[in-house]
Amino acid sequence: MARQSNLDAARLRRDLGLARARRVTIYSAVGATAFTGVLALVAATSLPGHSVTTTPASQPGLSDSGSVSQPGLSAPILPPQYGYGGVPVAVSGGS
Amino acid sequence: MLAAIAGPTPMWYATRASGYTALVLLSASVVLGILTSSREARRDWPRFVVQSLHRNLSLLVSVFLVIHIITSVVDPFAKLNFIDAFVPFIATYRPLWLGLGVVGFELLIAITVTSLARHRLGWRSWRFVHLFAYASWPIAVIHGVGTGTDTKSLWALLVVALCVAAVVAALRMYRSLSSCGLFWNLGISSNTTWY
Repeated sequence: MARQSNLDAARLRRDLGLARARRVTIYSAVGATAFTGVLALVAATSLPGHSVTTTPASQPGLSDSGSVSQPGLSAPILPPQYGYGGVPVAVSGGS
Repeated sequence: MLAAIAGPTPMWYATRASGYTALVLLSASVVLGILTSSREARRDWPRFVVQSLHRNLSLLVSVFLVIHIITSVVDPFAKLNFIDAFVPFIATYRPLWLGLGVVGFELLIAITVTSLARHRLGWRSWRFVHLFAYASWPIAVIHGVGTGTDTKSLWALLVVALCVAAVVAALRMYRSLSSCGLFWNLGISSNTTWY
């Protein structure tokens, strides 16, 4: 009788221990995910880290490595400015 | 002038955050491993519970390491590919520090695989490989400090310092409890039931 009750107590301790291990594991997984989110936010706000320079995939005059193939030529910063209506305006001598 | 300047992608933040989370989880797993090997147990925290937690946390470390590696490869900044993630010291981006991370990751893979198959391997082989678990932790710390973009940040230093303090405290406790040599007894007890 006493042996049976000792066995039951040991089984109960085992089940409680396993349930505790499972519970702490779930808390750890949830906590680690939340911790990752918080760290990502902190990293984004405190130190962005780097800037990525991107170039359009197919630009005429650019080689595969992204460098300009004709060093003497470069694209203008702004497109040519036209007058109203999008037509080039011819200005006469003003006589 | 044709180039456009873009900010860091969300993958870059996920890489950094998952790396630090993996380090925290790895440190917790190492602490639990040391506590298990010290053969000290409380009534409400029996050794099999601590061992079970140690195993589950180790698997959780693997999950966050996979996230860390995938986001590192997907993010365009470091220009990494999957070969760089498995062959150490060949990456163009900070090859030494990144290579140490690859070595630590491969040690953890070896430990995980041998732990899952330890009943077939035998205790001595498993023990030999499992000793490398203790090498993977300092390698991970050095990788994080050396590679880390956030090494100069206070929060990152705080996270690393807490991890180091926890492992050092566990080692000190182990040394005070154990009268035998340190390295040949870590994680080892022949009468232990390994899960």
